[in-house]
Amino acid sequence: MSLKRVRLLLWVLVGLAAAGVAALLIYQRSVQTRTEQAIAVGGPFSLTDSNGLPFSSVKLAGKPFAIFFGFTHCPDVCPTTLARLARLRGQLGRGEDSFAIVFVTVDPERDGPQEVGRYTALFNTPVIGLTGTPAAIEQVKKQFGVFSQKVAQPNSDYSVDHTAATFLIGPDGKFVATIAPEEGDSAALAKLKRIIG
Amino acid sequence: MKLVLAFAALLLAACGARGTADIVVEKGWARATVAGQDSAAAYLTIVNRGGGDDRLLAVSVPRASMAMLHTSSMEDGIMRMRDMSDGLAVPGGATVALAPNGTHIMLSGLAAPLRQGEQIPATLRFAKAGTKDVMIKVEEASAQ
Repeated sequence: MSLKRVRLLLWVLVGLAAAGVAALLIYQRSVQTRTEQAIAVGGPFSLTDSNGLPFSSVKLAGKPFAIFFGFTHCPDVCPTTLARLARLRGQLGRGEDSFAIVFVTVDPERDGPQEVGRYTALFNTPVIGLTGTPAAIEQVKKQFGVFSQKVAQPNSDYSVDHTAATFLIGPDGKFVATIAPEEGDSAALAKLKRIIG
Repeated sequence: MKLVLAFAALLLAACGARGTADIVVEKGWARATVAGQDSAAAYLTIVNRGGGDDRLLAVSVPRASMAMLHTSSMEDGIMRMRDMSDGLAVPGGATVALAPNGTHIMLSGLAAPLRQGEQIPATLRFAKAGTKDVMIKVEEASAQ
């Protein structure tokens, strides 16, 4: 083989190697993007607070918060969850400012600003109660992957089946973990410590 | 002497209760509510000291226009509340507790909010043991 040919062959090999590296880099970046999208729970939202005024999630920026979706006509799981979050916040001993507790109604037809305001005042500790138009609520539900569905009850009332997890968001606004109702206190406290730092 | 007789009577009564239901209802409690909240959950403990199985069929609470047995159950992360139209089994010798995130009595049609410290009378009707009364104590909303 002539030197010219050898040089050509070597350059082809270099070209292939470069192409290989480029492909690898592009693939890695696409996997990372997909992973980031898959865990993009949360994000900015706009709802209505208990005074009927617009509430933007910008108000929560820079501070960690625990957000729970329920409804005020929920007799058992919702009061239990909020009471528990309040109690755990007390147990952490870092003050009521350590993280915000946010309650978003999945029943905006019955839960207006007054209803969520009165309900969140029940727990003797700051709880942010949010409502909104059905469309605004649907949007936030979608962002958090929350399911809810009205179910008729015998007393001509209705209950709402709903995702019962509490979502924990860090001070950078990014989703960190969920707390399920059946999880014990020590697991819940460990997760809360992750967002309050 | 009276004490011995009383003790003997108790022993005899206990013997006779084998195979029957001997129900005690205790530790009734509910969380306080606010104006506008139409419903609340009440919890209690049922102890079946007898050997026979029994079933809680119905609950009546004059303080509310309706009292129903409900169960909260989690499926795939979704909490669902359902009416227990068949009642609640209370096997012989068992202690069945109605507790948060589980079986509870749903009170609806509250004319006025439940206030902390209030005592609410309730009557439970069992298939075998008949009716049993219990007092439901209203605790603060953040009670566990």
